[in-house]
Amino acid sequence: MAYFGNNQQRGELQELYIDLNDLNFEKKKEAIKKVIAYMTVGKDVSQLFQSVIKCLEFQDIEMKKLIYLYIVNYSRQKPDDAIMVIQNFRKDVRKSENPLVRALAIRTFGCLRVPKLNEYLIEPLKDCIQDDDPYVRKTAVLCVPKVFEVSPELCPAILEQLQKLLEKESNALVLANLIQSMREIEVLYGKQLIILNPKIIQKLLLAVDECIEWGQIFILDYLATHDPVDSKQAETIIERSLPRLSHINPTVTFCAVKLILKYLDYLDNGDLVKNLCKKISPSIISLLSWNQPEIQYTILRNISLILQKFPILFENEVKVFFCSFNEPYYIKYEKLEIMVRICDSKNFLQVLNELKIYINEADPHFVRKTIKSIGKIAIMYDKALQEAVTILIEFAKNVQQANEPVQELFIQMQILYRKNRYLYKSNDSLKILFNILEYANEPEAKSACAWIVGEFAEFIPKSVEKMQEYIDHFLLEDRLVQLQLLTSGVKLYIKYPSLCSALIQQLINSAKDSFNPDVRDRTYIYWRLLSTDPELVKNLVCYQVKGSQQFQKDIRLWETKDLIIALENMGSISNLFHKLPNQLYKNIKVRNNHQKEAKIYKVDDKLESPSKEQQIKNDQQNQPPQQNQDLDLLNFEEPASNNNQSNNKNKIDVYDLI
Amino acid sequence: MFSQIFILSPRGDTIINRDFRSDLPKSTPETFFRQAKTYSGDANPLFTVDCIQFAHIKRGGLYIVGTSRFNLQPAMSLELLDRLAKEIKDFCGVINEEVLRKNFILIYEILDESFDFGYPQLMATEQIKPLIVNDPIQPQPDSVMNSLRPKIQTFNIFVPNTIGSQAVQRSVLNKNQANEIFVDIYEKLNVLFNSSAYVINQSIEGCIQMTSFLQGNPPLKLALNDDLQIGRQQGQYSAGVILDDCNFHECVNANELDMNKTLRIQPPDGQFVVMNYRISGDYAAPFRLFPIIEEISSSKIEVTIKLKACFDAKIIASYATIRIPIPKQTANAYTELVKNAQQETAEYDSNKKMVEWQIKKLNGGQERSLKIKLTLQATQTAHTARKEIGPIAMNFEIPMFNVSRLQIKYLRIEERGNTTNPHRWVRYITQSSSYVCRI
Repeated sequence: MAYFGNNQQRGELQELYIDLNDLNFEKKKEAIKKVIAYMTVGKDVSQLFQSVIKCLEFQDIEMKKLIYLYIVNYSRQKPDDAIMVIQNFRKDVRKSENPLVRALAIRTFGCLRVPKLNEYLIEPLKDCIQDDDPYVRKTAVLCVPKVFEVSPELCPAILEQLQKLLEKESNALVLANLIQSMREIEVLYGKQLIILNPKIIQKLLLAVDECIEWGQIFILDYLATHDPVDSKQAETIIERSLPRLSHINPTVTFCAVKLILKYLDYLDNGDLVKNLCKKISPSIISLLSWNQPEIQYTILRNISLILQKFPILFENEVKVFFCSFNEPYYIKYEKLEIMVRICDSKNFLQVLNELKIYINEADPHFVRKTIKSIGKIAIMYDKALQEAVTILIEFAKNVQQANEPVQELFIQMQILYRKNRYLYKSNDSLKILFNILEYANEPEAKSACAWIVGEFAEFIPKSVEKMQEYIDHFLLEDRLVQLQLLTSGVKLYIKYPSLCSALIQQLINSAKDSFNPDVRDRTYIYWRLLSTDPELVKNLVCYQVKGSQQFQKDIRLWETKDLIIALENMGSISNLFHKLPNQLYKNIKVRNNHQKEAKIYKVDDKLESPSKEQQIKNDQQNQPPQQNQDLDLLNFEEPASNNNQSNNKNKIDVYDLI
Repeated sequence: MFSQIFILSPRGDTIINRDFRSDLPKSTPETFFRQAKTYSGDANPLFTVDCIQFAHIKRGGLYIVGTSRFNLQPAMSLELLDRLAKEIKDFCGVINEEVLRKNFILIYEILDESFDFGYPQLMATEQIKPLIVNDPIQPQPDSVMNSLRPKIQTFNIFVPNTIGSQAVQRSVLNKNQANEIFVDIYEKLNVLFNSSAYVINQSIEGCIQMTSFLQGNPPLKLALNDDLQIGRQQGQYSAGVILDDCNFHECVNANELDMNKTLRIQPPDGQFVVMNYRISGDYAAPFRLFPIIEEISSSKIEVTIKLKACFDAKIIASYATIRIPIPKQTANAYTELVKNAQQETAEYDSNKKMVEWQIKKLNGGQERSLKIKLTLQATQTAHTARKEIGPIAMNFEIPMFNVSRLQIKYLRIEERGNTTNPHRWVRYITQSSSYVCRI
């Protein structure tokens, strides 16, 4: 069978060979088309190399295109044969009247990627860069990085030529290609090649107006990496890029947004900045209604980034981020995130009212995220607390089964109670929650329940029974739940010493031999504390904070210094993952940035000084770990170590923690 | 940028494979296809395997794929592939496996002009037309296979199902064609009502789309409403048409828009979007929905929905579909239409727990209503169940009508002296995007 198959293929090749060498032109052409068809499918037709390149002598451009396609594919397999083509190439480049042929030849030449052929290429390439026809020039310019990649040692003269071309080139498309190809070489070369001066910038800006859209992207993208020398220059560049904001291609618009946002930092004039922001935001919002959800998604991911630096852009625009019912869920999740970020002291009620409706959606995961968002907003704005509790309790009333949203409900309610203890009184919240306590099945939700039972034991009629139930299954629980049960158990014991003495004994007995060192340590600490000074334990464990606690959640996505790098890569795939490019790709080096602080553009007109921002951040870091609910590590380590050496000095800290 | 571009058949055979940078293994098409098959349903438009980014779109059942190892811009890559598909369609008339296989040389040509070293170059049909030497080969017109094939996907952003256009499925290279131009104004509505039919949020996404078969591509002048205004100031109310924002195709010169409300257009061949616009202000919603929910007993609920068409009586809306989610604990639902209702159906889908109400035709000014009688399972009471009803979502299409009142005053072909006066076709179409009433 194999023999038969081979034979047949050889037969096909044989036929093609005969046709290729036929004197009839049409027959040759048909044969070449067949060769290309085989090549596309992946059959090896490299044996016909000699016969194919013989056909190059015809001046038929269609035939030439086909043959070049063939040569590009097989030149690396047959470098020795490929040398024979060189003469033809050089002839095409030098002698042909037709710019199409010249460009075709140089384009194909660049794709050969055979080091020993490249030396023959340099001279024709130089000619083409100086060609009269822009079509040839634009092709030649892109040829340089192709050659540079394979044999950089041949290129210094050409690089100089490129720099000269940059100064005198007048065709927009050639300029755009030139910029792109020089940038590519810069990466390979590791040196800066493009030296911008005001004249060149002026020219690039002119080119943007005339260029095709992809060229506009190249140029805008390049200008966005440039640091303007002064406010005046920044202003000119911004002004010239403004019309791009209303381009139909979303990438062009987005590149313009990126450029302008970057240059805003360099402007001295505050009013101008405000006006510009007013012009940018409608464009970004239009991108959001782009008909492909995939593109909407990339824009949304980037907006959460932009928001951190430019809250001013979406002032009064929160409605834009309301979810419509027919959107894909990945868009809805992203919009939820943004709604939380965009929320401020003025519009939080509007946002909460919207979230209230999402709670009734069908998708449990979406509802869970909604509940989490409500919690986040309540933590940020004291005034929102009451409303948030009302919404969540209303939801709790209808809970009938253990599902995802219920888990989140417990977690968020616990955080809200921690923020303001007196919330337990409102809306019968405690009673309603207690009724559905059995639906908690995720460790985090269970530990939240355990906390609630311990904290509000005196207001829950059956708290001791409930705790007994938990402790009976102590060993089956997750570590997180065990730790919380310990603390809550001790709280109960202090509140009802006589009722709970058996209970605490059972608790300590089951926990003291735990394999988990954290659980074991905490057990011993409580045990010793209780046996030495119960009064101290009472002060420690049952400390009640007056009023609401001042903790907030840090919802910023990025560290300031990373934010700047991220903004420079706006729109790229790394930002889609909310990662820095070098975290995603090993081969990408990030430009070192010396700017340590980012200017934040707030709604209230005043530009907040970076130092203050830093201050807030530091404060937040010193906050107790309630905010780090996600990081369970912090949640138990600190109480344990702090309790161990509890003296008056760090008492306050400890109270907060428990 | 892109390292390779390839086109795969639905079975994973390579139809076109162009390697621009030779920096990736030759086996990427197989890698792609294997990965794409692991998704249930359509594959993600963008995914990564071994540090290689694959971006793809699906057209006519074919995968058009771009690969890269760079930090590319996802929005741009998808847009590029989409443009490429549009070019191929402009040249070949349609995209399907047979046509692509027959025209693979032409497609290599298109690819070579559109991309160099993976960077996009000339990507507009009329720009590369002079550079292409091959003619498209049309597939056998009336073969049985063709008629069996599902309808070819068009590149309309909006695909109307009421008025078919003669403009689709035609190659721009066909020289003997009528000298004509089609102008479509599409508007998609987003409206959110609360239960008392008060509008909470509304917006319009619209576009003016042209399909040009004008010979010699003469410059055009398109005039819009005199009372058009672009950019909304806060707290401003005006009787005119206010667009919040708009953007234009490259061939459009919008310098005179503010002054004379005219656009100067240098039309390319084939289909293109002249202008996209967005309106967030108040407009009269074409349909109003009035839901009434009554608890008859602890296990019975009655939902009455009234629909009112608030537009001119001459205009007819078509394919209006209204979906009403009902409680999961519903035991039975019974729908009741007005007596001798015509071209109207209401059905209860017990799997999805949804009532679907379809109205084939609805004249402006008319009212319709539907009554749904629900019987609940014993486990739930009417009081808690009623919260699960809704939101009501509506889909519709209204031909020859637009909500924004944006209008084309005239479309003038600037080049005089041409003996034949080209045909100009103008259509208006309004569709629902998200038309929702909360209960």
